[in-house]
Amino acid sequence: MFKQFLNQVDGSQVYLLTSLGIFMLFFLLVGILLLTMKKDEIKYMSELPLKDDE
Amino acid sequence: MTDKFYYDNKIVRNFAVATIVWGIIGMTVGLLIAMQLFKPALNMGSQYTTFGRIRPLHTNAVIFAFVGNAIFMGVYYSLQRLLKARMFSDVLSKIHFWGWQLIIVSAVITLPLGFTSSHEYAELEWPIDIAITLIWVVFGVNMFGTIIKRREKHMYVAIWFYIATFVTVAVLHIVNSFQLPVSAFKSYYLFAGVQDALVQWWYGHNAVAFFLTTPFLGMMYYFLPKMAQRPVYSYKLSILHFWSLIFIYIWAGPHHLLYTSLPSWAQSLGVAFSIMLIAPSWGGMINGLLTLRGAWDRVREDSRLKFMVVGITAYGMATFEGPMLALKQINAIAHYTDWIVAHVHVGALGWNGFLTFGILYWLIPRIYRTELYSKKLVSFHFWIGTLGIIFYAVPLYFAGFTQGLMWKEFNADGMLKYPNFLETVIQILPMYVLRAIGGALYLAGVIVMTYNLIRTVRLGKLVANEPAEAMPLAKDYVPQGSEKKLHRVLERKPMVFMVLSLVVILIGGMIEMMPTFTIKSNIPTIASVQPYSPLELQGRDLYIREGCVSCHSQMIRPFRSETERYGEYSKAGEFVYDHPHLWGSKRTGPDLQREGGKYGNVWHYNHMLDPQTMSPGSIMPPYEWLITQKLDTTTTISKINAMRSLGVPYEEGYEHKANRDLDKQAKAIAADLQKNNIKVKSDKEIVALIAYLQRLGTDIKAK
Repeated sequence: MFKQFLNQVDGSQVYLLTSLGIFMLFFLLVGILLLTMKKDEIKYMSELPLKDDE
Repeated sequence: MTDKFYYDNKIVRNFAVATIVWGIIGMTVGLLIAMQLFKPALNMGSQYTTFGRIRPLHTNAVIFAFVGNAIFMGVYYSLQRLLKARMFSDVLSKIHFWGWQLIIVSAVITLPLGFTSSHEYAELEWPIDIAITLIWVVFGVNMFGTIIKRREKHMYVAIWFYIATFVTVAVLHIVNSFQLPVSAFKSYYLFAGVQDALVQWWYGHNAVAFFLTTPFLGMMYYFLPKMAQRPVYSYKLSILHFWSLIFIYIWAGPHHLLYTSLPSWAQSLGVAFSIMLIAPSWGGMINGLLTLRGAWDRVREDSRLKFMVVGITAYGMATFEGPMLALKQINAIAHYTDWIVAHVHVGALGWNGFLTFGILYWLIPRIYRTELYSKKLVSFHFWIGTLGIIFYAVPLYFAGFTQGLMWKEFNADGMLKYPNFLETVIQILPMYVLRAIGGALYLAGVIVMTYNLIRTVRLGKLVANEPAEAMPLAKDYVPQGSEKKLHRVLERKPMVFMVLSLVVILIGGMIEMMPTFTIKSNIPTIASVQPYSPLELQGRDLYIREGCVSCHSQMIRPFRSETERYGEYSKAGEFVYDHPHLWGSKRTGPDLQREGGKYGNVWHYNHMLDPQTMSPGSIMPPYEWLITQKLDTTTTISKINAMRSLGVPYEEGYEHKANRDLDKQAKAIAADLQKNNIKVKSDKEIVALIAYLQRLGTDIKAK
């Protein structure tokens, strides 16, 4: 199926592959960022909207 | 020592009032144009109330007035509380509020007058574009000023969404407003044809993303936990959701231009990223819905939560449907039909509308220190609103499928089964009636809400300045332990955060657009394509003024069903002098790309005067004023000059000969009409419009 999709793309395959590359890199970066976050930070941040009650 | 300060609730209240007022106006205009589609008499025979001119009024009013004011209401309420600070400047808040309302009023005046740039969802002319830029900057300064003087070190995820909204809308608006003014209320876009279309849909698609989606996601992340009284389901998911959403959205614009003359690599790029968009969109939806885990019993009792749940579900449905519509095979049927109209209204009525209502019901009693006047009426609003959405969307889906398939159907002899376009329109008119009923139900709900909120407000008193206290931030803050980690640092640095968001959204935009703008081979030129004659150019501007593009495309896709019906498919090189492009996005009437020479001048004359005489059953409104109004030829010189500076090859000095040529061509058309017993002076607008229509698509027609 994927072969069919690739064949339908005229010319610039480089373009699509570069885009995919940039996307993967970006996704990995955010992933690493997330995995290194601590539990207490998460808890602190997620409770911010609840703490402003008067 | 804690600081004592006051939250500004008055500005929140003002934006809430504006939300409701503009909501009612925008939806009423929507209902009117919905009814015009099955009862053309409702165009009221006036140019100022005809579909083409007030359809942009509806879209602008609901997007920028109703949703826009709702965004500012939500941002001004939540930002102050999340940052433990009053808005940066009361003066800026006021300028922002009144400036925005003034912009909307100017839209309400100029759009019916026919001042339009024709770019969908950005129709306002250049002076208003500048005003929007200024007010948007005021909003930005006020927001960042508040962030800077905050008393909470870390920025909650809602604020990131607000920052991304601010930055991206600024970029989108500015790039999509590159125009060359011709007069006080007329301008031409810098880009032409394919490039102009790409900019327009890069803007259009991302206006949906960063005006209708990200600020509402921010509001969801603040107001939903407040209503449910529990933190968001997964904060980690919200971070992932945020970065991947703003990164991917920008790339997907070309899915609005599938099968058009846009280079196919750009189309494929748009498709690929549209499919990827499902992931972050559903990440957000799931995060929202799961925030209610263990609180579902409250959803049963609290109609405000019902609004939120249906709103978030509508978001999930629309963001699943969007990528599906971006698949070429589905797009081939759905594009140009009412399917798209149904799709956007699931998002607009469900996601934006319902979230706004839920928040209004929660927020108004709070700032007025009282309880809701009637919970029963809230429940009534919820049900009539939901019913309204169903009555709106389902018939239009049906209409979309039906018409899309009828356009493509061939009989056993290989001929179009429905060669008459009108036949496919008449088939779906009952669906238009049902859709209007759906719209009326939805609007009725909003009116009930307005009554309920007015009664609520009367029960209490506005706490204009709400007292609060918090510890000030330490001047020399030393991060400890995990606070040195990258995202923790980011959460403390709003400016860096803004720049990073900017970079992230620019990547996709640049990759998508640069090749089409820089690589010549992407738009092959055609030698026989010539600039418009002065009369045709004036006629084209009338076509723009009347908003013909709302119902007629000028883009024939390379399908046999389309080339059979309309003629040779459209080539990129045909549009190189089209500032702006007029490809359109909806075919309520047939495509006009190859209209030139199809009928005689007299047919067009009679058709514009009374469409029903030439096409019985047609739902097109009559345009009698074109026959009585004189064409303004004083603008010819500045228009030719402007076009030349945009790269259209009119020879030097031609502007002075232009009106002579214009007269000559106009007289020839008038003489031809005279032969058919139609007496019309050659200086009337109708002559220019006929000249333009007769020119359409003829450049590459075999003579």
